[in-house]
Amino acid sequence: MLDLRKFYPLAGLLFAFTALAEQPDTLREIFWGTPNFSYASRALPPEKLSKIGVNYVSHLFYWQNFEVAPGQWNDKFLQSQKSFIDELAANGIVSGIRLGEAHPGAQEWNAENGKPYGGRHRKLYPGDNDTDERYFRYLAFLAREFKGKVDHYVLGDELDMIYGASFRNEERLREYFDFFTKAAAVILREDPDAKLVVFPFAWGETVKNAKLLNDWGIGEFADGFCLNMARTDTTSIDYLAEIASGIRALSPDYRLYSNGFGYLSDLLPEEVQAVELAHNMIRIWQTGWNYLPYYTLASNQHPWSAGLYQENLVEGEISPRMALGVFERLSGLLSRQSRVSESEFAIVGIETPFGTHSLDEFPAADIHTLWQSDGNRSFGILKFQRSGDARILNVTVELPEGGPNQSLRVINAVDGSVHTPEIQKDLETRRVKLQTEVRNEPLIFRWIDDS
Amino acid sequence: MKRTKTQTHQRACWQGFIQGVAFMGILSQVSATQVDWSGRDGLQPSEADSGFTQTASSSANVYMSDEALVMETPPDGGASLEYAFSLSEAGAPIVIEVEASSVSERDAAAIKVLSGVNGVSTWLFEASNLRIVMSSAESSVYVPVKTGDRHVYRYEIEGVDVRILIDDRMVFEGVMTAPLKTAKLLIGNVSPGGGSMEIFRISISIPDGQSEMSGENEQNLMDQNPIAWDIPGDQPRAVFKDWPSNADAIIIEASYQASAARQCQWYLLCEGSYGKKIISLANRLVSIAESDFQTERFFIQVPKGTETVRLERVVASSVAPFILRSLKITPVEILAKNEVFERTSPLGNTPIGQSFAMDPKLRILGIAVPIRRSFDSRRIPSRLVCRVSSAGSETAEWQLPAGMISDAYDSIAVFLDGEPKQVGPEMRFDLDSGIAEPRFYGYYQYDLSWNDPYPEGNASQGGRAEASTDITFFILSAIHRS
Repeated sequence: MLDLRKFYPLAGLLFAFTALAEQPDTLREIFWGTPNFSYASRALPPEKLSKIGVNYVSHLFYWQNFEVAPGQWNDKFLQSQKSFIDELAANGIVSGIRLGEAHPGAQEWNAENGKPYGGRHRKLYPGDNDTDERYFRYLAFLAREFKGKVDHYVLGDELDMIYGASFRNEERLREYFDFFTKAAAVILREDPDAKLVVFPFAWGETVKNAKLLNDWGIGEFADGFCLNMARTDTTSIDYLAEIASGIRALSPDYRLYSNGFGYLSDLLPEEVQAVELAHNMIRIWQTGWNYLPYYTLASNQHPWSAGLYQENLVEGEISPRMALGVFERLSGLLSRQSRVSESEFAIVGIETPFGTHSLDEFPAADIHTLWQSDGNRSFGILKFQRSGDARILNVTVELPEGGPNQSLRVINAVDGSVHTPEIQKDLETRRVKLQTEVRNEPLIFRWIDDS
Repeated sequence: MKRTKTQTHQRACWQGFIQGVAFMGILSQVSATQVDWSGRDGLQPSEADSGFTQTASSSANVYMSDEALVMETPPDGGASLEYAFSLSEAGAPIVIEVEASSVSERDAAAIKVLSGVNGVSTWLFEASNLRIVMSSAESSVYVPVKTGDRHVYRYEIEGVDVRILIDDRMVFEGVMTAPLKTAKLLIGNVSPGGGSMEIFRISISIPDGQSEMSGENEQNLMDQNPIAWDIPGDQPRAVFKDWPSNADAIIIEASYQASAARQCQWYLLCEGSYGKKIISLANRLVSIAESDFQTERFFIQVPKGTETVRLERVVASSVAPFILRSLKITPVEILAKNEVFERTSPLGNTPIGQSFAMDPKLRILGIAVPIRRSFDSRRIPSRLVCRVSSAGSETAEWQLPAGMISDAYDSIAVFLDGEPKQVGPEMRFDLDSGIAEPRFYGYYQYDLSWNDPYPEGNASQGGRAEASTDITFFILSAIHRS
């Protein structure tokens, strides 16, 4: 039986890196990225971000950072943000702005709960003077200052979770719809090319919320919807797929945004986190999201600092973590919408001590095969359905034949190791067969030019 | 006459350990009014038709000396005798005498009377003491005795009271957590550590009138020992013919030493009216030291109509070998379940639970709940607690150390009890991580559905019932040979 571990030459590592990282930006349809927490720019400055496969940054903006008091604008902060976004753009990185407030419900939240909502900002929000009119002036200010620099604005921040605006409270959701409509008009007046995304969804019955907003006419100005994706959301592909298909059924033009995905536990071993990231990225890709900033991992040592890299708080040094390799490898590969076929890449036999068996006889094998037909960028993925599967299964797979001067490479998505497997060609069907192992780490199959 | 190791090993196959049919035959022998075995008769207990089963790893040397059964084991080997019995009334008096000597490493040579974790465990400890542990208590009592010499260890058990005498001298009195209804007497080298144990005589007394089992009514049927098979660690394969037709699932309890996860792969071939179906699983826990044996429980659903199950293992070669100490196979029936899940949710410092109605005639053997660990169990020694209550009063509390729950997606916490529990008509179970600050110390993840797939029950979090939510779970009962 083939043992993948025999095929891990260093040269192969370099080859895999080069082959997968080469992705023309013009063909990009999925934007893998990161949120812009302040440490992130120190750890990964823009010139490094694009090198690791990141071409999208989601900026979380808070009103009070820009307008520190009514009519008093913080020019220094504004300039720092503009410079950061310019520097990102110079490195081919797209910026989106997530507005960290959801105004109307906030005032009522304070009244209902008898205390101000601290939310995501340490300064209390909203203050007595934080009226809708002032907020719209702030939005106009942002749109004017960031015109041409920003791809999209995300309005409303997890308001179903925080302010109870959902189909269960239709009146409140309608209030937000009216608010979004006014906010959109303000932003588009200043920056007609800006895309607007509405983000009422942290959890729960997302499609029901989206349907109400769509019925009321949000499609007239909204480019798409945004969703939170914690670790628990990405465990089940069905959950994400149902939301994606539900929103696309409202309109195929809606794009799917994520506030962020991840929230892996930093209390897990490094390898477990890396494998889970690989599985999550593949799952999210399959379901068709367009903008995906990756949350760094929560850490009990230094919340938010761990993840793709580790920060030495004393020395100030940054060292890459195992998950970084996964992010880098896959964000290039999975940069175009999935057009997968599960039949093109098939399991034709599983070796067991009782002989060779078909998938029908091994229903709990839980193996997932995907083939992305995309010309020279075609690739296959072989993996267990979910991360953390401890089994090792020896399988025979069948997949489409490559070009005349191409060789098949099998790349481990987690450690980047690569090998060239022995294949059997079937000239009649123009398909090839090979033996391989299915392990916890997803494997990528690609035909690569011999030259 | 001393038997060679090979001869002994061949004899160890007596019970047809590869043949499940034979296992079932052994396990149907459950009680006797008086069992007396003496080494002077020259027969091993398992040969004397007295109801003992005998297990030995291939590295062990088990033979008859002139007047004793001798068990010689290396540090990674084991050899034991087991006698299962059942009482018609919980707490009925039992007297057990074992005349033995031992020169073994600490905790190797044991004499135990247990029902699950309830009972009394003793060890002929480092040739110097009798170490005694009651039920699940972690503290030990040490009674000085030269265990290398021949002594009579006498165990008198009645109700929850236990008295231990050595050569007619009372040395210990203790209390169990519950009276015994069914139990096992286990004698031998069953823990890591090598040595030698000589057993000269065994006497088991259950007063007249306590041992007969009619098997005619449901109550008695429930009280019989459940079907289960212990497979010695050196057996790479087993066949279970005449598989119980009402088995919905299998619990596999493996005790092993592994240098890495997935070092050992188990394959099960189920055959029945549907044809053939393969199921596979792998070890997920890792040992950190030579003496570190992990215990992992798997829960596997098997197709309806299964008639035969074949089990085979494949072990990857490694510098540190995979050592399987024991493998216990228990077929179970699923009495209630919600196998739907849509989301996973963290189990932090707020207990989660599920309540539902259960037929009061039924007794449960255990509960299996899909749950994963999101922290390093070596850094955070949490114990996952499952409390079972019936009509508001607690009937059982089961615990699993975090180390027995893996971080794999298909990890499942299997809580088992030696004595099946009657829990109807209003049953609930609650899981408590015991972790006060999940943000810093980690959490588990459990599966649930928000669409009320199990309308007979309600989930709860922190004591607050959530009618539309159900936890993914399986309530299990033992299967008995009719």
